[in-house]
Amino acid sequence: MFETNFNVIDFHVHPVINKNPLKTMKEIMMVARKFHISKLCLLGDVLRFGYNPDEKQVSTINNLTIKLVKNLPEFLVGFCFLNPENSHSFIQEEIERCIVKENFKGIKLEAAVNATSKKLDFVMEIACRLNILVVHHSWNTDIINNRKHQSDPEDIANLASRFPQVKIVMAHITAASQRGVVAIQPYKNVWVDTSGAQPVSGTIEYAVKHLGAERILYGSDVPGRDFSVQLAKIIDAQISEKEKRMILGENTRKLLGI
Amino acid sequence: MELFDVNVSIGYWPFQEFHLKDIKQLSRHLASYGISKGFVSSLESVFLSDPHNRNTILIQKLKGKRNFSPVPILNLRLKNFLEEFSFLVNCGVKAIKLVPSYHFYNILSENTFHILNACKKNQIIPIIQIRCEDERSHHPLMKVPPVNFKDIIKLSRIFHDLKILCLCPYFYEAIEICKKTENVYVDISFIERFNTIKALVEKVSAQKILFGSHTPFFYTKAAIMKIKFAEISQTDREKIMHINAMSLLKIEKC
Repeated sequence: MFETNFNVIDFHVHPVINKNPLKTMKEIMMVARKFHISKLCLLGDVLRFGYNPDEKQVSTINNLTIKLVKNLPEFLVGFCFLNPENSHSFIQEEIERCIVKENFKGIKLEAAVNATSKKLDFVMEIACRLNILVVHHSWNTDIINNRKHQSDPEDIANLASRFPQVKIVMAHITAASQRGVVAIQPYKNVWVDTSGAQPVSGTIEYAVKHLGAERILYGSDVPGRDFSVQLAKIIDAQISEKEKRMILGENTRKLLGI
Repeated sequence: MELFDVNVSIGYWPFQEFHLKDIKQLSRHLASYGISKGFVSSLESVFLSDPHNRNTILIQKLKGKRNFSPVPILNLRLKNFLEEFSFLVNCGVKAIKLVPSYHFYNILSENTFHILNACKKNQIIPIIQIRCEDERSHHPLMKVPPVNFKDIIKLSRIFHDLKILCLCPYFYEAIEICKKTENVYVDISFIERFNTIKALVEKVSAQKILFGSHTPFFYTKAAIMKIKFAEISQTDREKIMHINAMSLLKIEKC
């Protein structure tokens, strides 16, 4: 049994559209419990239909998140997946359906458009009005290219500067690397999650030093990743127990009001 | 919980800062995680054209440390690689490591055949480093492709009676390698997905899987938690943790 005093919330989990997604989610939940994870934030099966899903596909993704959260309400926290390329009326309806009616806690943006695009403004303005969180995918495009779709940490910083009242979580700290941490450092409305990538040593210590533990949220990117490995990044980091506790759950609890 | 770590390095790496500066610190670090035995390589040897000096220093520094075996790196682009191999055999090494992508040669080259024949003759374990870092996090001007796992499969068929260890494959590469070869083993350091080891053992025999942490690149605890909390039988867990490595080295007790 995993021995820890931490009450963990995983900020970054994806459901899977398959024959029995509820069964898959229950299997994930069983393993999560073994690691004292009390809640999973479900960000949608966001790449199921590629980078630029149409409105029907976005609805399918959100339908699954709604279904899973309804079935496992104590354990799952829903996020509304959106594509800024879709029509404003659809985006508005989807936010109404997921955030207002289903009490989802935030919006997830993936890789339809770069974060500096004006196409994000409509979504960000609603997020500002409703005071909800926006989670944005990010990666270092120096290596993977495709900046049309992918967003560098500097692009997230640009988004944060344009919408200083919106709380933004930049996903994937390891991909952001030290350069990414420095890029978002001045923007106090940006947090970073620890999800995904290999457990590269020193990553968490650097982020704690430059951002402060209060701006870091533990996330795994399960099922593409493993709870054990992603948790080890925090547990093994040379930071204080208090900082670990903040990253593993307290910060997310505070940010989402749960 | 006994652990034999087949994937440990020491030294300087230009793209990542390590807090483990010398063998003393490394030994203490590994011991604190319950890692009682391991294979250690010198990182400088990855970049140096002639790794001889760094290999020699590594062997000297590990002299007398019964728990950790030096694994020198050979550059098969150097004309004298067979002489270097003989020197290493005389030093008593049990395994040698090849980094074909960094030393810029094809794994199916004639020189690889020569060195694997020499390994077979001298009962030395050849270790092939598939990658050192995730390709998506390389320096943009130094994108080093991984060793093609299909070439490793081809190589294994030519040397079907030689046991080969591959470090740092991804999940799908490990599955392909283990399924399509009899004599190639993989370490767990880069293998990850939901319930990693359970998923792996459902597809391939635990006999082919070895514990490797890829310290100091990765947090050591990541590989430890991966195996410690794996939903597999205790027998399979122990095989991965140390029995398979010992069997590869033909030693009886960890």
